[in-house]
Amino acid sequence: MSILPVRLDAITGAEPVSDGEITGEPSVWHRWRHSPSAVVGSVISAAVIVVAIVSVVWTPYNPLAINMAATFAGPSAQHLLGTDQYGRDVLSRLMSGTDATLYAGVVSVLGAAAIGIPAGLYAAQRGGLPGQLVLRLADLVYAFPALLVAVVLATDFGGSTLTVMGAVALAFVPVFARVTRSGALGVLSLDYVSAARACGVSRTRILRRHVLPNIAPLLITQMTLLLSVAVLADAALTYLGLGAPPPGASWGLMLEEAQRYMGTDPLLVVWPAVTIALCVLGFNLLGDGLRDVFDPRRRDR
Amino acid sequence: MSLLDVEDLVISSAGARLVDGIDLSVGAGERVGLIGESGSGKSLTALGVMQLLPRGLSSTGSIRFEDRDLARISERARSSLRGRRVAMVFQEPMSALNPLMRVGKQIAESLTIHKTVSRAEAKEEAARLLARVEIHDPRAVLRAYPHELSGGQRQRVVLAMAIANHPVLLLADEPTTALDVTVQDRVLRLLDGLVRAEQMALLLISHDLAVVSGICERVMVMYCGRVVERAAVDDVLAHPRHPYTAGLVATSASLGGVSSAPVRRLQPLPTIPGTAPGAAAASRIAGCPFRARCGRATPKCLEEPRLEMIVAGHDVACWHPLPAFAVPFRALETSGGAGRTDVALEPGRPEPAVLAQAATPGYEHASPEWSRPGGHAAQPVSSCDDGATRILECENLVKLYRPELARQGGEPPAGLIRALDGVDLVVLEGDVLGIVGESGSGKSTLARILLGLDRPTSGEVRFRAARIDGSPERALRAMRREVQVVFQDPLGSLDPRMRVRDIIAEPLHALGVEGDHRQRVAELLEAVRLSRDTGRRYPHQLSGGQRQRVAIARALAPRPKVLVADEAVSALDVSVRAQILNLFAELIGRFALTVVFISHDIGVVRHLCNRVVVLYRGKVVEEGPTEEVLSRPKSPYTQGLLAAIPQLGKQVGDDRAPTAEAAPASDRTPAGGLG
Amino acid sequence: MTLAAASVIVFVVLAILPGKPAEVILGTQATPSAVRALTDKLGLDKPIWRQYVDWVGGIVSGHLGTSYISGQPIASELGSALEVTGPLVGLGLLVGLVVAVPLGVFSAVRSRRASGVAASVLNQIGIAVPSFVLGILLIVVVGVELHLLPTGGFTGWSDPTGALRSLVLPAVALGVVEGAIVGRYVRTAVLDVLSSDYLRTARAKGLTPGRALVRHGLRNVAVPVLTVLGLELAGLVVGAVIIENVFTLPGMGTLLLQSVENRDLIVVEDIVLLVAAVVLVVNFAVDILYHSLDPRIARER
Repeated sequence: MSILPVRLDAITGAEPVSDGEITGEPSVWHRWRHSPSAVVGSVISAAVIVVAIVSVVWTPYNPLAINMAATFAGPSAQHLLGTDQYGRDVLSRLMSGTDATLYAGVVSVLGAAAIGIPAGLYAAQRGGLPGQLVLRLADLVYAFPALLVAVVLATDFGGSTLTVMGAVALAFVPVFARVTRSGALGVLSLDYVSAARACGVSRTRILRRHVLPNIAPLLITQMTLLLSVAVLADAALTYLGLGAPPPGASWGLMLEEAQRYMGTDPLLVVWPAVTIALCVLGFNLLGDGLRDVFDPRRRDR
Repeated sequence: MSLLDVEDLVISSAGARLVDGIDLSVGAGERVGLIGESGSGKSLTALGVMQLLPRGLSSTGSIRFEDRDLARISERARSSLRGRRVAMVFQEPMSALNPLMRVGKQIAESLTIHKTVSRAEAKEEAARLLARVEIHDPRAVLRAYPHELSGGQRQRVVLAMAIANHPVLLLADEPTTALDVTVQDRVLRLLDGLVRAEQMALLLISHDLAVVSGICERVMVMYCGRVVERAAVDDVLAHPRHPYTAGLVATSASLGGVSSAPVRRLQPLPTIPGTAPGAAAASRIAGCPFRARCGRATPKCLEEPRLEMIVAGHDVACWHPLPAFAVPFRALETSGGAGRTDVALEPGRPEPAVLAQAATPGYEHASPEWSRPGGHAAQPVSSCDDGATRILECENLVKLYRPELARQGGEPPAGLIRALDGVDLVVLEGDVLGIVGESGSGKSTLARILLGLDRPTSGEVRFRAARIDGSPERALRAMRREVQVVFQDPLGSLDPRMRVRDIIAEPLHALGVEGDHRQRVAELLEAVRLSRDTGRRYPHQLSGGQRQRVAIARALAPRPKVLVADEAVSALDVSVRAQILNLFAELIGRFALTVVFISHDIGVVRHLCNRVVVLYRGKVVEEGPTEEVLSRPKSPYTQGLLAAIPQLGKQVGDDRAPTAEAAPASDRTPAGGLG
Repeated sequence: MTLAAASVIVFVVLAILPGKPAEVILGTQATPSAVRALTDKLGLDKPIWRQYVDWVGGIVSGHLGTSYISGQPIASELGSALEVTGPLVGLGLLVGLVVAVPLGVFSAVRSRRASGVAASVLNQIGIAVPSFVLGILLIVVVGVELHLLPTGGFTGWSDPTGALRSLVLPAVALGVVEGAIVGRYVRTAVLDVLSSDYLRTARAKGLTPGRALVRHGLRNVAVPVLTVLGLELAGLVVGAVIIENVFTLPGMGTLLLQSVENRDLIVVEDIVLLVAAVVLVVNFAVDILYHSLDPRIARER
């Protein structure tokens, strides 16, 4: 699993975007429908997002409401997934946890992108010393996996959702910087950029008009994959007590609590475990699928 | 009984028939050529014979080789034939060798697999094989890794592995396409010599009619996965019967480089209108796949013609074959106006723009007005400039590169690469200057420096007498409006996420050109003979030729005086290349352009340019009026270069120019692939 | 270089933390004078740069300092923790390889058949399950239900079999998930090799598909996979921190989290720096190995 951002292609990046022969390739939509990863991934992801949104306005029960009269209730018509040690409705807590996890994940991915992408573009555009400096800095940050950052932040400020988001975002910054840089370098070496320069198009305009649109698929794919890593990290950090404190409903916390009662009620472990796996699987498949769709040369993968 | 007998070979991928039922036979010791443009299915045919098709492709049909059907026997049985009885040489010598294994081990493996020699002997035998393929220092090459060798050496190594076990049949798939002309010449001679000495049968696959005609006895022409003509080489060259073959022969002949016939510079070249539909699209066409481009097409052509004998030893798949005595060039010309409008165009055909273009009357034969005003031959051509303005010039240009491994040019990185080594150049107003050179000559580096995209390490570049090297981008604006560029790779030079009309309008915005941009884009589309609705399309929806037209339109947008064309037709198929050259010729006249035309292809330069500069390893080795340089070359390098060009109907190694050996060019061209 | 920069960051970030360690150590009842005395004793009254020099000087000369809380030298605490974490990571790597290589190769070679697709799906699921969740599930099934292996605690290496037995489940939890991630890369690398020209050349020479893959493919697969493996080793170290928590192993991770709770600054600093150093060193080692494996870039350094 690892809280380290794990995708190697995220780090070595490398593939310049779409200089291959794509004449007569089927449309993006066509490739989408024919990529099982993309279809399954988008269905799961969509479901996760819908649940997160619904949980904001409605959950079957108040996820925090304690009912000591109905602890450890098994699945039933009233409580579809049963109740926990305080009689709280497991389904409601899972739903509310989806919201929290997604929120933290999206914020940290977007935050990292907001810093990493400009840094990567800068490094690609300015070779030489300034570019190298940005790269070295990225390497340095990269040596601190999210867990370590979270530990440091938690030592300073205590565990909270903010700690987790900050740690995960910081860990993702170098990933974005590298992916952006290698993608941008690929585009910058292509003839259409030379042609644009020969027409007097300014550097910033080249970045905006040519580079960004052409690496956008790469970046969107990366965001999706990192979102799945963020979900994992969030669960793990919360589990360790570095994230949101009890009694809030989060998947990591639910696991941590359920572990104490796994002798009596193992199902309490299974529900959040399955939820996390499903969510990660969904975003992962979506990311893989997007890559297939955007990069026809990898269709066979 | 032939050595190899292929019957009804079909290769398909996801329902598309990429090779559509071809028959092929090669007799023992016979040399057969397989000609076709990209996407014609010629390479797949060879891979199909070897049963080494890429994943996802499947084949049906029978492949009888030495009385066994390669398609039916077990993989183990096939493996024992491959490399022993039938061997293959591939196009890309760089990727065909395992990058992590020493060359000696890879050659020795060919021998030990089939247990023809013991492990101990294999090494000795490998060295002998390398000597056999004329590698000078076999011991050193045995120890080398593939990336340490030049392209020519790598291809020799691949050849050595192929002939290791004395196969009876050799398949060579574009074995010299990735190589420079001079290297190609030597590898072809070697191949020819080996095949004759070993009495091997050869199936040579190439897009280049001249290459095939230099080695083979018989030739088959493929179009859209089908064989359209099959006959003896001389027959096909003298009396092509299929209209497609006729067009191919005519185009190849007129761009053949150093034929003794006087070249009518800038005169329209014979072309085949339109472009071949992509392989997948072609398999959906009912009837003759060529009919949309064919001047002789009639409604009959909606039925598929079969390959039938027309006279003894000459098979054609055409309902309306050309008469036997027609001179190919003429034949095409007469057909030009006549039958075209009769072609019943099918709705829903791929690439309507291509067809629209083909239907434009007079397109292939541009009006005579572009014989230049003033007459070029009379113009002073030497570097002294009586009257004509020096528009672009450079002096003592030097460019050093840090060798980059990513380029994998060939030579091991040692110190700096001298891409340009003291180049002087003058471009006069109205010049069409050709810059000729092989890879590593520095010609593309020169182009980038002339365009102000790269800075020279030292030396001066002047545009209208003002220095532009090292100037900040703002100072270059005036020049940018007047100097524009067309690059080699038509796809790579167009942003895949922009519509054609936005691509063409980009220089207008960037350079602040005033006026109605939409109107201007429409004018430009018309000037490069693209239909108006092409503007809405994206580059990937266009054919290679169309893309290059878009790139030309973009270059013309700010009404430049000077056009720098870097290998602008090299990536195109022969028939399309002639179209684009005709377009260039027309535009040069129409807009009074000064052109710097960079190319490795002497035939193209000869057709277009009034003056030529020959670059070799970053130095100018010869320059002067095109005719003079090409008919009476002074430098041994130019002589060698000219002698190396494959000629239609000339046997490889015939008329061997005595100077060829003296040519300084070697396999080992400088690294970098910068040229 | 990078390591020095990393040490500065770790130190500065931790030194500016809001809670004063002396107050935390002595509890809320402590008198101000007692706090001041302890602050002096710990050297926390010195300027920050001085504290940093002391700390780094200590590390360089092998003195990692003394724990604020236990008063024990950190070196010995860390040493005994590493006796658990080291073997755990090693075993995890072993399990990971045993999972990754067969899974990746199989799903690539059979990518167009149902069995290959099934392997691929299994692989995706493996990635989606976080190692600590797998750990908890293993405890439930193997430990609680089947009573096969110990589910927590560590007896020490004086009883090697017992020690190994208690490391088996954590190592499996850690390794399977890492293995699934690496397996994806193995699959991609094998697919690349399968479609390469040189493999086609090898087959044209007369090698059977299997032998061609073994003779020409393995080394070419090893090069990219090695890079991922390096990154994943760092991931294993981080993952171990969490897994130790699940299985209550007295390793580095447990020590780290305890120290965070106790605000035991120097211990946190040392461990964070150690992990960052491991990440950097591993990356460096992979780089060197990579260069020695691939002759194309061997001369560059």
